Amino acid sequence: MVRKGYFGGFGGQFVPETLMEALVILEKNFSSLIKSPGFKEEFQRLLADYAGRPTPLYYSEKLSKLTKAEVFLKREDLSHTGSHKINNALGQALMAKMTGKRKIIAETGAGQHGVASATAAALLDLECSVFMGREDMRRQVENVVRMKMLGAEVLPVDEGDATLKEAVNAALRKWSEDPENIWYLLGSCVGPHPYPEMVREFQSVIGREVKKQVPAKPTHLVACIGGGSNSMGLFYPFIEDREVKMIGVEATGSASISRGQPGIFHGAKTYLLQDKVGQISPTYSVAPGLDYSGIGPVHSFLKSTGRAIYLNVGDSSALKAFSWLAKNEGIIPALESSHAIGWVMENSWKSSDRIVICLSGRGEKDMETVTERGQV
Amino acid sequence: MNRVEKRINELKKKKEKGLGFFLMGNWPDKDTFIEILRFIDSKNLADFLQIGVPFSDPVADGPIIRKASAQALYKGATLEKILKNLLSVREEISIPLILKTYANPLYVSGIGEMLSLAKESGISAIIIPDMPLEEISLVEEQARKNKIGVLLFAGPTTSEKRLVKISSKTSFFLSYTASHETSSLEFEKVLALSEKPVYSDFGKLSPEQAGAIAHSLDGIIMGWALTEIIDDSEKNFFKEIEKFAISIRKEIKEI
Repeated sequence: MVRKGYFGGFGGQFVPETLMEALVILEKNFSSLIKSPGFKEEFQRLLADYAGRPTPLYYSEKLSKLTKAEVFLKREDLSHTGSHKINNALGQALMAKMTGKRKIIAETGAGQHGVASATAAALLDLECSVFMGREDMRRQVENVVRMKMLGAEVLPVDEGDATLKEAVNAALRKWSEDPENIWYLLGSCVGPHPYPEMVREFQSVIGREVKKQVPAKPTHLVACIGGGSNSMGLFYPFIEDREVKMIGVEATGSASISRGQPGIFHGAKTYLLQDKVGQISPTYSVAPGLDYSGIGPVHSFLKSTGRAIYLNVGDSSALKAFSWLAKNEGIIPALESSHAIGWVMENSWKSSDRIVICLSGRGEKDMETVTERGQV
Repeated sequence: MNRVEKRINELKKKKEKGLGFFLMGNWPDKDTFIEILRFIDSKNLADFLQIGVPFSDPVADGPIIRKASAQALYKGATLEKILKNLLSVREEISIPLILKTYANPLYVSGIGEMLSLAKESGISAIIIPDMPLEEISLVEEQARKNKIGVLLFAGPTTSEKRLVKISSKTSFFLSYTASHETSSLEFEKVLALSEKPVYSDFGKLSPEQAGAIAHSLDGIIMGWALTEIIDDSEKNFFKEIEKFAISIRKEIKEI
């Protein structure tokens, strides 16, 4: 029997009872709105005229020369607010608005989802509070200022490592205080059902566009993975094309799927970085958007079936790719996306390989970090 | 008969209101935890106790339990160590015990193995804050095998239809996570809908509030009240626990 909200043995709704009714209502709203012509039309309009979709698929001559394969970059960095996060933020915020919610809350690591949520909230006249770990606020100052400029409230979280995991905890707590009036705009394809499915739905526009844009069928799709939303957006429309290999690149210090074990956390059964007795491990990555102990349950499922491959690269590979792309292509990628680029640069390829890398965001937010790390 | 079940039934028969407290397992340390347990048991300060398992990310808890949880983890507390600690005093303690743990420590440590150890250690029921009705089947079979009851929560956001389902599924009683705003009218509605006795599960109540709630329901459980008293260790917390528990007992008895 296929259980609701499960992908193979992964997923589910492991949340406190306080949130269950909210999830039931969310699921109902999502499944009816996603089919409604009114929502679809407005969402398409916003993606095109407001967010700047479709984003280009750029043939990178220099990366192609370096790898001796054909390399394309899906330019999510060119969408409004500078990353793929706007796709999901607009979709959920529009649903929040259409279901009469006045307030959205969000968690953010790198600040990209926070900025996207604050943007969607400003556009749609919603109140917005963003939970962000204190350490991430320090690392991503520019994005904190942007969120405030957009009218959002940024709430620092001091617990634990003060990064993304703690920001999610704080957002879940806030949501359970008033699930009737608050829409929790979760930014990745993690969490309890229906979030993994909902975020996947909104991000799949990435892969659908790639399908139309790429001159011939790609052999490899490569994307960085924190919670796994940009990768899911790129992969999902290709799931049935068995000959297309899908590769998720994690950060070595937060490699939940390539180095973790199954567990139950933040609403779902999924791969986690944890100790032998089920305590969630702290993580570290130079890229705050990858600095997370869990991963979306659909990725856990794709790993279990072998449909996608997951591996990891360290900070130095990402930093190298960051500098290389800036100096050779004139594109400053986010440190998160730099992990995917770094892996492609280090791997050996055949001339018949046609690789699409999701350039999930731009790297202006990372200036301080790369300066600290001696890249400038 | 299961100790928790027996106590709940006795109270119901005598038309008395029940009182339960939460204690973080192996906190403030392994030995003091057992001393507190013995103290509450010997002085008959509660009808049952919830024994908490610390977790790195306790999303359903407030700041006081979060702090105790972090301290317990720092000192190396685990689900297995807490159960073994309880096992060592099993014969001396008669107060019914409920294990309260987040899903992951139980899942990763092995549901079957841990519930069998829990039974040996005198645990009569389990309650898992992040395992709602939809997911509870994950532990049910092993719980049944070990004759451990599985308790479920309901709260002000739970719909009537759902509450009926939860109350039929929960073992022994329903834990209702009330808030300060919950009115006696709402409590009475919950009680009328529920198939089983209803206990309010709330962090801390004053004796007057406890009395008022116990008036409408079958009993009360306090989440962080004792944790706060113990945390304030400058005072003699044994005395403070006794004083507090008696003041509550008095209010809920006088109904």
